[in-house]
Amino acid sequence: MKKLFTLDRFVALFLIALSLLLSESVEYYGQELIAEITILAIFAMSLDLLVGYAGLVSLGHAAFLGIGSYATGILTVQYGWEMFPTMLISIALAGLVSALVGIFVVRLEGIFFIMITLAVSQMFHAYFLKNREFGGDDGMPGIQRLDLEAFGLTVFDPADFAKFTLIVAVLVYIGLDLLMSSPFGRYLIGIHQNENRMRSLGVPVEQYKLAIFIIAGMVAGLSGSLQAQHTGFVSPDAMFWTVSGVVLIMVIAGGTGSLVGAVVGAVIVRLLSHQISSLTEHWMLFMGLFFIAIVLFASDGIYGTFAKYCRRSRWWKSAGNSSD
Amino acid sequence: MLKAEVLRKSYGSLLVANDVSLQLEKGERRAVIGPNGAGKTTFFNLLTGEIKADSGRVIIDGMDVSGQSSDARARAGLGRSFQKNNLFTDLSVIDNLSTASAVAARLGKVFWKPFSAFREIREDAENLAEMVNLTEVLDTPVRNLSYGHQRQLEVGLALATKPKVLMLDEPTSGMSPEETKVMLDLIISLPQSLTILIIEHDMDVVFGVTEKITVLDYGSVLIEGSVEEVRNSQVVRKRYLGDAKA
Amino acid sequence: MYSDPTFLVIQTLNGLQLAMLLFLLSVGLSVVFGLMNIVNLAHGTLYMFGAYFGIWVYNLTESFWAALALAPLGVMLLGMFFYEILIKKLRNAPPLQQVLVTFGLIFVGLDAVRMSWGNLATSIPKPEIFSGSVLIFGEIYPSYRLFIIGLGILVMLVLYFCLERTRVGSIIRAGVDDREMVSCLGINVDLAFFGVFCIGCYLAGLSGVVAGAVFPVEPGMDMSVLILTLIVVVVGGLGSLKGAVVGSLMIGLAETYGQVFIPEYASVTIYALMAIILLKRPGGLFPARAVQ
Repeated sequence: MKKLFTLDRFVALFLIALSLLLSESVEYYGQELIAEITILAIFAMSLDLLVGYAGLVSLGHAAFLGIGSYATGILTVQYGWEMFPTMLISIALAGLVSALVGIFVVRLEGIFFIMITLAVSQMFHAYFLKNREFGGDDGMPGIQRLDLEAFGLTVFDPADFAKFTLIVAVLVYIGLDLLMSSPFGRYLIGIHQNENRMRSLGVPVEQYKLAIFIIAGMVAGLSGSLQAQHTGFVSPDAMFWTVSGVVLIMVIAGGTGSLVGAVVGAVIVRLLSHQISSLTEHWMLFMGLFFIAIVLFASDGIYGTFAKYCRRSRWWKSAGNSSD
Repeated sequence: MLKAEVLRKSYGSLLVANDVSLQLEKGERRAVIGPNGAGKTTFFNLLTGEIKADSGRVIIDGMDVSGQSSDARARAGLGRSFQKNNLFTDLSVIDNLSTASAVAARLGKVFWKPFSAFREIREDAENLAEMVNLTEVLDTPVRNLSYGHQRQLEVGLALATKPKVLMLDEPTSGMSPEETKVMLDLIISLPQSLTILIIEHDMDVVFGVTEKITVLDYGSVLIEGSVEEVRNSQVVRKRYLGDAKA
Repeated sequence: MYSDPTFLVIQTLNGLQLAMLLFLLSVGLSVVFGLMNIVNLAHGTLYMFGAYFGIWVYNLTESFWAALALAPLGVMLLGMFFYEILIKKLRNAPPLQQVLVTFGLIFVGLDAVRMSWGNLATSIPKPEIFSGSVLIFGEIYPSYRLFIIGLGILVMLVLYFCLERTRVGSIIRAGVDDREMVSCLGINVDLAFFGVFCIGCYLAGLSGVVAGAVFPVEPGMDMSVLILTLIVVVVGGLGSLKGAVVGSLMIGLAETYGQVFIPEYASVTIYALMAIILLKRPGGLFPARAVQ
């Protein structure tokens, strides 16, 4: 039985409080970093829906982030749309594209799924790289941020923008947490655990895979739209396959199958690469070694290991929580 | 209730199902026996749609499901257990059963309400656990269960979907005599109205469960009849029961 | 101009040249994929190291041929090293782990190259006899490209002979088909697989040296070929020589023709091609093992 205050939700609250506190106290660069990490966390959560819950290892998830970014850039800069409807359309477009892609790819399994998602994302990358209309390899600058004066936030203030992204992240977390604890979420877990058994119980497995593929694509699109607003810029680099690889590492590093794990992974990997790159110009070498070490030696992920330990420890149980 | 008409399947020149036909009335219990490699499991897979037949028809409760996928056939009323345990190994017994109960209740499109709020699913799952004698291991993850318990859960999952026809593929395979006895009692205790098709090697189980037997050999029906008829059949004696001392 | 047969011939030769490079890269990857179920994203990194080792040897010896002979061996040694410390452990790991570990290796390899040779693009000078051009239907065509095509065909023939006509070849083919069965026959499959892995690394290194004389040698050169190579492998089907041959020809020619005839869609031609093929045949065109 799920309790209202699971370990996940407890840690989520803690992270939110910490970031709110930090967004007030740190300097400009720190505030920018909080916004960046929060956006990454949303992106990582969306990938975890696929990898951790449904067992669909996508190596092309950045394509949907990129589509969200480009949609936001194109609609606001080239067509002069308002930001709020643009965001909704960006999410819908990312969902539409992931539906079209998903119909084809969810039938594939294992390494073929990895390869086809990789190839599809590279296709989008190649398209935007060559398309002069949308800036080609130079990308597209001049993207504004959502106007939130009505809520007392001035999004040009980095602290306020960080708060805005945090609010969005919290809403996404709550939504996805509900989704994953619903019967629908249970179906996905069943499919991840044993697809054939689910099928012989009477579940049209592909339809559920497609559904979660679309949802994950939409959330990725949202994070893409936020990223475009954050940097004011979008380029094909955003959807290069290594971006998908790094976010996959984030999800693994945090621990798959828990939304908080994905968030923790995003925080740790981003902070680590930030720290290492300030120490040495050869940060890629160390990040590469870190990735390898994580996969080989901590396959439960950092948060996954922590959660396992907590659930076994006495104080957590004495606080009235059975293992969930 | 279940009708198979001239099912045929071949892999290249290897004929694994040679015009197999079978008809089960409601509440009937039928055993499929035959030597190893006779095509029993293949026949099951043809019925459930896990393998596509080259020709022939499958009809469940008057509904022709021949062209349909295995999940559609399951929804039409086929529930099956597997010869090799095919469970949700990281989940607990209760989570295994409640997942299957949720599928039976067609809850998959419900995404706004927590799963734990569905009390009736939990109750269903607990009843099922009781039915297959797993009440004392409800919260144990499947991978920590004993083999016998896993086999019982295998049957429990098949029952969870409230099937019209229950198909059991060697439910007692690999079990100790004690575990076999538990399984036999379990199958006997199932409601009389439930149609059961069972593949079994253990003749005590076969004779304990059913009154009618279909003998498969080389992918075709060798003989079909009552326990007595099969027991006395010269063909079967020669092919199969020769050393079973039945 | 498009209907000019000479133009078509030239473009076909260009396509073949790319196809042969892709073949050298993909055949090892494909057979390792099919044989050992190992996904090696760092295969492109081996190619990059082939090019850099080539430059290194060239600078020491001033000979392209020395580079061509020695650099692939160096890459093979590098591959053996990684096999021992990493890949061996991953043989039975799920694809996700293999993908991520070899993804990490890409980063490590990229920075290792930067640290050792810097960021600037260089290239390997072409050998004397292939530095000129030949006339094809009155068009000037660089002879080095013909050399690449010839080398590719040569490797193809050698591999075909080894796989189809030798005992080792039959062990490998049987191993792809049914690994357990071959182990049961008392044959050291792991050793055979290790050999295949080494040959795959060697060929990746070879293609690196060869390509180093036509394409810029720079950090990141691995990325551009990796995706093409993976597409070849997936389109051709895992584990088969035939698949690698057909796959590289299709992708090499489609890429080249695409750039020339439909430049506005060129960037997506090969992806579209792959999508169509995988829809019709989820296991690729000629997989060594049937996909269930």
